[in-house]
Amino acid sequence: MSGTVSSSIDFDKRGKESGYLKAGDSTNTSGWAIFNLPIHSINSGPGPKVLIIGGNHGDEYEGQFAIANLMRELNVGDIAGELIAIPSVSYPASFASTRLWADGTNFNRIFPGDENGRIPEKIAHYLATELIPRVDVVIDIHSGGRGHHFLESATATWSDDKKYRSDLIKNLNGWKTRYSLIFPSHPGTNEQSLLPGYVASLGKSLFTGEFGGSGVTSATSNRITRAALISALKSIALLKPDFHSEGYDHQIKIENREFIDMRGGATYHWAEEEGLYQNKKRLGEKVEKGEVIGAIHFPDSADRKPHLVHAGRSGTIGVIRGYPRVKRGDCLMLIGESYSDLNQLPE
Amino acid sequence: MSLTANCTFDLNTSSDFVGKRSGYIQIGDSTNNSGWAHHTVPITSVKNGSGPRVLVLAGNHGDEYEGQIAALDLARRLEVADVKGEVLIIPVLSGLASAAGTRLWPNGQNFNRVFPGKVDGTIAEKLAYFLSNDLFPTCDSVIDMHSGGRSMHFIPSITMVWVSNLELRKEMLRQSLMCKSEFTLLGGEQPSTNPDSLLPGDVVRQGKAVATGEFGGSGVTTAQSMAVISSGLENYLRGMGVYVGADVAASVYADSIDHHGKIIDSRDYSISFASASVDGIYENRVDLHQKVEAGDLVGLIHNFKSAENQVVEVRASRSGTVALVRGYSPVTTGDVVCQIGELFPDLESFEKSLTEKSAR
Repeated sequence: MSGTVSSSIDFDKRGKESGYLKAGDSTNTSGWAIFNLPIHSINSGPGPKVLIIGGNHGDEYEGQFAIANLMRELNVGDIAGELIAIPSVSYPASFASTRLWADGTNFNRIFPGDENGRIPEKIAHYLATELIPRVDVVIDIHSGGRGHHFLESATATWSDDKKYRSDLIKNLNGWKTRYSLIFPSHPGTNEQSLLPGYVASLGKSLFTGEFGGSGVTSATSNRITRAALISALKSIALLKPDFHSEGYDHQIKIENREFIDMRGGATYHWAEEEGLYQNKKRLGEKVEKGEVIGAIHFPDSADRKPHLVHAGRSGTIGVIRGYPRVKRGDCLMLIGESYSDLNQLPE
Repeated sequence: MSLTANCTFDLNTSSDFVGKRSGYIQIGDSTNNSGWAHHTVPITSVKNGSGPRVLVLAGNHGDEYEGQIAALDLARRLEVADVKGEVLIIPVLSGLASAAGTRLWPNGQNFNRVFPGKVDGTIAEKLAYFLSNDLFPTCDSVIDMHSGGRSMHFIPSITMVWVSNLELRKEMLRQSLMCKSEFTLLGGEQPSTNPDSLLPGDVVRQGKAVATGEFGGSGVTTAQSMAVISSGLENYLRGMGVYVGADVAASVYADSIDHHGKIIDSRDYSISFASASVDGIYENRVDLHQKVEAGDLVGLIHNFKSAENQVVEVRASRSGTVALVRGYSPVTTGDVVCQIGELFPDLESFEKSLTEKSAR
């Protein structure tokens, strides 16, 4: 229960409804304000209960578009179960095209939230205590943000719990994407402070994905995301098998599927200088250990040579740099081991 | 001669001078934290006796990085033996904007709208004055490399404004095709803009050819966009007769060797642009290179503040090939979100269409 956030719609009610999560707010220009977060519900009765979240990070738009478009398109008759969708959970950050909220909050680091905290913390608390416990499945759609560019991929953070892991893998395949990325726990971060980490800690079924990046979208990345979302919802039998969305119904041919394992050593490459970064390799490209993968240029100097960045391991590139102005510690690239079959992955 | 900017090495050497020099354009500055300061802009000259002087410029807009990286690379690797005449390189014109990841300077100035500059103006205006007054008159030709910036994403291409001076237009078209990029994008003058206030416009005003290009966008770079720009730059310099070195960049961009010379004609900006009609978050529904018909949906504008979840459609006002899509997703009414032009496989077919149109 949240004492500071309420919903204008009744999720128990059958039918399709749109409304707002309402969080008490008080700003310099509006002392007694309500922060209104758009939310949609389609309840058709018995079946899986699913929560879809887009815009966890403001500048990751593919999921926001896919969810908003799908929620306009879907009717009660298209699903079996309950679907709750928040297309753009950090919408003030979306409008600013930033990863973080204006107060500096990363929505994906504040779980389980704070009932008496700032607006994003109140929203996170409502999700953690009301919506996530209510559902069986949570879908959290990302796409790199301005700093990074990902292969459009299903993602999963590896779990030591074999039962939970087998569910993660089932969902990874449910997206039906060409690429899947397998991650370790995020470096230097409390995993449960992330929305998906919190969901996993409750043992709830989880879908995550990274569908592009650089803070922009393309028609292709938007199409892949929408088709993947439809596939995911069909894989858990929420969306009826005969649901057809013109142009998005499994148009992606999945040949040469790749599962790229990012858990090995030397996967992450971080900048060791401040400067202007040049990507020298393409997404999906295979590289050998020691190859030059990028260069940090020093444009303020007329004669300083660039700092070359070398691959710390052999493998396949899953992530390249977006925003090119880097400082020490910024992530430049992820290289992992590619497998054609998930069963080949090491423990 | 500019009184407020100078170069740390002598730009007016004798015609038989041989040498590579790197230094800075120094512009008098006075800031809160540094009363007697210089704003410095790195510059490199590689000269080998007599021959044309070609000026290579990038970073006109701060968040267009391909040209900056290509020019930085060129400035480092070019040696005297590679050159006949002189290559003069300013890799990052708008250094403060480049560092901030923005199109404009921190004071809000668009470097590509301040020409011919002012000797007693802001730093950007003083730099523009130095270019217009001290550099352009001494150069035989100029290349100004752009790449869309954060708000736009182009098919990496050589671009050319269809200038009214017929002789210059012919020469600029020749130079554009000399770059051997797969695509040359023809545009009109920027709407509601003084053409002479743009850097390339100032070069044209002085009666000189200028080569320009838009080599990507969205404020990022990729290995692909770097291949297009680096080969285009090398081909340009070789075509101008000023580069006689080895084929370093051109060979890595196979497309330009096999398929170069296509022309996308979007000179009529009254129909070639699609623009946002409301504020919101823009979703691209067409990809670069995609063929569209007039009336086709090119994008949707979302409003994530409203539970009504309605979208505003943006449609193509002409048929053709998509040459530009939106980068930065938030849009304001009037923002360009798509550019469409007519694709021709080569110069000959384009010129034939011009003849047919004028005959009608």
